[in-house]
Order: sequence, then structure tokens, then C-alpha cells
Amino acid sequence: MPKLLLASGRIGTEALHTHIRIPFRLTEAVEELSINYSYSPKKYFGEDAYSMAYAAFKRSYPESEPIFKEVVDRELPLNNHITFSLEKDGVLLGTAHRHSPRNTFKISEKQASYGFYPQKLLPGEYFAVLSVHAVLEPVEYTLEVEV
Amino acid sequence: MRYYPFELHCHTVHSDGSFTPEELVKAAKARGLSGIALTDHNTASGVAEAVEYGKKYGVLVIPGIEWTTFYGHITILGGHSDINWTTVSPETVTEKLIKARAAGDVAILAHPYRVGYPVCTGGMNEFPKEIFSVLDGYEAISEDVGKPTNIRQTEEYYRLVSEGYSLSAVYGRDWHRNSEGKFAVTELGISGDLNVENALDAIRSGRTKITCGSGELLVTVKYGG
Repeated sequence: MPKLLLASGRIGTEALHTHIRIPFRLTEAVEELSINYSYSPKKYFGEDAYSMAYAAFKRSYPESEPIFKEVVDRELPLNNHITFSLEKDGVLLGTAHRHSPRNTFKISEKQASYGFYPQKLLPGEYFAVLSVHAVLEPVEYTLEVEV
Repeated sequence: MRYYPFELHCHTVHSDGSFTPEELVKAAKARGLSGIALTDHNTASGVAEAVEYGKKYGVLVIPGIEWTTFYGHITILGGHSDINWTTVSPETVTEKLIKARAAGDVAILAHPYRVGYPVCTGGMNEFPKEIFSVLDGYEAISEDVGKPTNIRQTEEYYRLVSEGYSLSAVYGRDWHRNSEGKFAVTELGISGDLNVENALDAIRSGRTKITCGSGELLVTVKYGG
């Protein structure tokens, strides 16, 4: 299966709350795109996890409301969370807002994986968009786009 | 005019929910809801299927999406606009909301006081205050009614309305799957036929109330006469 893109790299905490756009080109129309996307680690076990989660509760809870340890503990371990979208000419062809760190997405004219819109895959410049919702420590990602 | 119970914040397998579109519509029917808004995170790819199942089971499905940004979550109802969520930031959000509403959509701030980053990115609203002038609704209560964050949401809602903002009170279960808890509904005061445009008009016009579904009123407000 011809590969259009094979990318890997490190996403550090400095990339928090950014969209990383990785271009690739289709020189002719194709029937289907297949995307393998993964990142690791998913879970964050740093010693500061509890204090960061507690601080988040403190910002949202009424001042007089107690914040119980077991309530904060339910949110641990914290997660790194980087979603995948596909974009062409500034238009999103779909977003996979999933919590799993390992996914395969397929898009064609007749059907598409959840989150994406079935469509003709015309020639042009596409972008794989990695949206860094949460990164608590450096994360390694791999991305493959095949036809 | 008659009030109909709706759930205006729902997710499916098209983002991170557990329901297929059909399962969501059937669950809404089982709860006695007249309608739902499908607001998957950053995609509307499940809407067409949900609308079809809505017709089959007799549940009105409002097309929608939840802009799940790094700085806050906003549900956009109507399906008229097509804004790339990755372009929504604190600097652009007002302009994007104006554009979505000009296209005919309704915008609601979701769970403004949910526990935010790093527990839930964008869960707590961090958008600038100017958005309150260009929103139609505000989730005065979200998820389980008993959550402490709802105390702040409801207080803030009444404060914003007292400052003159025209915001409808909306409930959002943020329904991803069936779970235990105490949940509410948004009742929409609809004139004429029960359809999407009349439901959107009820939200725009402030004809909303949050109830427990059995009639117990939790939040409502009237503004603009």
C-alpha cells in the first residue's frame, strides 16, 4: 500500500494547546485513505499529578465546598490527549475526538470512520492536524497515511 | 405555546460517546424526551444518521456540534454553519460565534465551571467575557444536578442575566452513555410545529426552563419583555 506520509516525533509540553499541522499531497484522486495514528505515553504518573488535579478542582468549586481526596483521586492518573483531524484547503474533513492513543481511520467516498465525513478524495494538499489538548510530559507520536 | 422536554448536549460513537446514533435516539425516547441536539466533539458526522432515526422513533433531532476547544466548550445548534473548530481561540471566538449565528445557528456555553485542565481540557470556560454578548444560551446546570460546580454555574448565570446579557437557561447532561445520577431536562417553549427551527427560536427567545423532567422547576429566566 503506497505511503503518502510517514511521520514521527516528540510533542513536548511547550506544544500544549496548539494545533500541529503536518502536510501531505495527493497527486491524483484515490478511492480510500487509511491513517494509523498513535502516541505514547497516554497516562501521566508524575508526582505532581494530584496537586495539579486538586488545583483544577479548586478553580471550579465554590469556595466553601470541601474537595475530598477520593473525588480528586477518581481523576488520576491524568491523561495526555492529542486528537487527530484531517484538513484540506482549510476545511475539516473530520475529527476523531477519541481517548484511545492508538487508532486507525479510513475515509472513502462511500464510508468513513466515526468522526469523518465520507467524500471523494481529490488531488491537493492535505494536512494531518494533531491538536494538543493535554500534554503533561513529552509524548512520542507516529503517523502513517496510506492509499 | 407548549413546553417540550429536550436534552441539548449529547454524544455518540462519532466522538467519545458509547451510543450509536440509533441507541441515543432510542434512549431519548425511553426517557420521554421530545427532542435532542446531537453535539459530538468537533464533528457532525453522526447527524444525518441520527436525524433519520429521529424520524423513525419520533424524536426531534437538532443537528449540532460541540466546539471542544482548549479554552472552553460551546455547543452550536442548527447545522447551518461549517466553522473549522481548530480556528476557534480566545482571539477569534467572538467573530466565529457571530458568523455561526448569522448562518442561523444557536450558540450555548457548555459546563462553564466544569473542572478544567488537566482534568478536562477546556472544561472550564476561559474565553473572554465579550462572548456573553454573542451567545444565545448558558448551561446553568450540567451533568448530575448535585455537582458542586453547578452552584457556581447557576450563580454566574443569574449574575450575567442581572448584568443585562440575554442568555437562555439551558441544561446539558453531556450525555455520553447511560449512567446513574440525578439529571434534568431543558424545556423549550415552542409555538407552532415541533421542528428544528421552532426549537432554535425558543432558545434564541428565552423560552426555556430547566426542570427535573417531572415538572419541578430548577432554573428559568425571562428577559427582554
